Amino acid sequence: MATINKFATKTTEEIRDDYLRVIRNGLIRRGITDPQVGPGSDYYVRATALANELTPLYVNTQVKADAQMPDTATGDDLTRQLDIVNLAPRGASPSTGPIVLDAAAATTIPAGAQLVDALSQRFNVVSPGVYSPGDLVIVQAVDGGAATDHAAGDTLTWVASPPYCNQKQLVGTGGLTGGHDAEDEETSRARLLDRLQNPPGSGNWAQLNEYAEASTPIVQKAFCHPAANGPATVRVVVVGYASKTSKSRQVSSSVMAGTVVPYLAGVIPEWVEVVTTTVTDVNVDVMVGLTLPPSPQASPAGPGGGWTDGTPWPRMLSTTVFPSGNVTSVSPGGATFTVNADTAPTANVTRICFFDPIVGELKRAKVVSFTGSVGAYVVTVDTPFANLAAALALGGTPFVFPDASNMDAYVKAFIDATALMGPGELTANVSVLARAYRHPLTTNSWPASFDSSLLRKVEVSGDEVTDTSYLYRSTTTPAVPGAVTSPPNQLIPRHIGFFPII
Amino acid sequence: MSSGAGFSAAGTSPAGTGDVDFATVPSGNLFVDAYGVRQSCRLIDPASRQYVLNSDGSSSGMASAAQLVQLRIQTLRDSSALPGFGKRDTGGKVSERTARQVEIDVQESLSDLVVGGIIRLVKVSVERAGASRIFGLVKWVDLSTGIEMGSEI
Repeated sequence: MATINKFATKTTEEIRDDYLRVIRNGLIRRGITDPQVGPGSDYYVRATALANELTPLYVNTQVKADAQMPDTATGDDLTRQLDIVNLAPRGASPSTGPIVLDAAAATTIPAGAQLVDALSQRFNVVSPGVYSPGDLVIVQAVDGGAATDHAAGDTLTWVASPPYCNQKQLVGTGGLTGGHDAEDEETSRARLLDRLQNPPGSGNWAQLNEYAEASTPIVQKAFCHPAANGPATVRVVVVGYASKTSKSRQVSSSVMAGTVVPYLAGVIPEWVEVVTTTVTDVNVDVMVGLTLPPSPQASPAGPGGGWTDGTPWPRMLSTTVFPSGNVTSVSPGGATFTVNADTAPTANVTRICFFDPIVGELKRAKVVSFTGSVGAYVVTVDTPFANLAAALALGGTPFVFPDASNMDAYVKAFIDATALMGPGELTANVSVLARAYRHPLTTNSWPASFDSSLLRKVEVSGDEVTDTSYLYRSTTTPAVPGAVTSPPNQLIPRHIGFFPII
Repeated sequence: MSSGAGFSAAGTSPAGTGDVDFATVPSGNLFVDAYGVRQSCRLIDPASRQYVLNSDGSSSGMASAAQLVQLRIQTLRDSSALPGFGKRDTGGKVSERTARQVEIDVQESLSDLVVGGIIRLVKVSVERAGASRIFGLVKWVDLSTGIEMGSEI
């Protein structure tokens, strides 16, 4: 009996050629020494027609096979697989946070009071009642989406002002956070695979995680640390979604106190002490090394499709000149800035990139002039990096790095991969860790470290990427918190750059 | 070990356990042309466009290049499974310019054979046969034999 080890399908050409091979061999066997089965022959036309009819069967079979697998299903097929295990793709979630009440006197905010922002997005007051001027009033967006997030100091406007209140109100410290767009397929898939790998039941850790994730769509993923605080205790850690403009994974304190914690307290038996926290964000600056095809302008000339310039600039040296490519100062407007590089750019030739962490986008520009010397080149670009100063103010080391044809894809692949990372461990105590390690394991899913799993996403983002490596990571693995009762650390990307591997 | 297909009656031997066997190879006149020469492909009647069989039921043969030419000039371009294969429909009312257009279309349909060194095109003759019909003959040389041949359009 034949053993089929591989799900094999044939291309149109393979079907045609196999058919013709059989015909040819059969005719030779029947005495035709050189049968005509080449292009344009009647057999060739017939074989091509047959292959054209059979190919859709193979392709459809492949499509349906992929649709049956949780790691390859997409669209409705993925939703169907989620349904089977009682999961569903998550829609957009609303932001929540405080406004600072600007009023002439104490006032009663009625139930149903609403504010709107500049995009006419509505926000409900969570707890109607009597508030004094300066009090923090918690509001929550009516609709979901990352656009409902607001920084502290943003203005909201009452739809109908309560007595003594000014029409305009300012968002309080911490801002309105937790808004995220509808879950993408890879995040849904990660939850599906997690469910299949770790079936919940009987109050096991997977079930506790399931409860926490069901408490609110703001929670992207929950993690358990059984017996972290001793017998009959369990620590549940929840993370929120990263957004385009905020890589933070923290869930706001109001959501934690008002939704997640009470939800878990209601579903977990009283004889288990449940402590639920979110995470502590730890910013990480990363320089990723790439091996890409050289530019046609390189010497010797390359095939293109990789680095844009013949001599990509700046470069990251493997020696002690560190870090090449980091920006040390910037002039107002972002058109001129100082770069720590070991070589000079070429005016009107060198094209560079900057990952803008404020808006979460890749920015590109061409160097039009420069002054300075090794270690401090003052560069002027044709398209200012408007948020470079703001990026510098975030701390760490913003990078400018060489442009490449598909740099957008590399940046997106890396950032998307970090959005599926989880927190690190709560403790390094081996005795406690025996039970209290993070569930699911950091090595199984939702990695906690900036490790090779992220690089792999970059490698598969383009056929032209032949090698990747980390040239620099400000932090590799999240440290354990100072106390086991503190939130675990969650690594999030801040400044990233992509440089040629020299 | 029992034998498989060809020697055991169906149903008496478990399928797949017998030795592989082959049907008897028929001897005969496969691809033999009118001159008794064994050719490399099946003969297609240019008028009926059907395969031609010998008296014993086996396929008659024709030269490889002849079949390649015939299929190209008798197949309407892009009507088969092969994109770009065949001759354009010259179409339209037959006029003084028709002959030239047919010649262009034939040359286009046979261009890959010419470029591939299989044939050399000698002449395309076109005669009007009434107001809406034409009669055409393509003369070409099979470069593998050096023999000049003709194919009806």
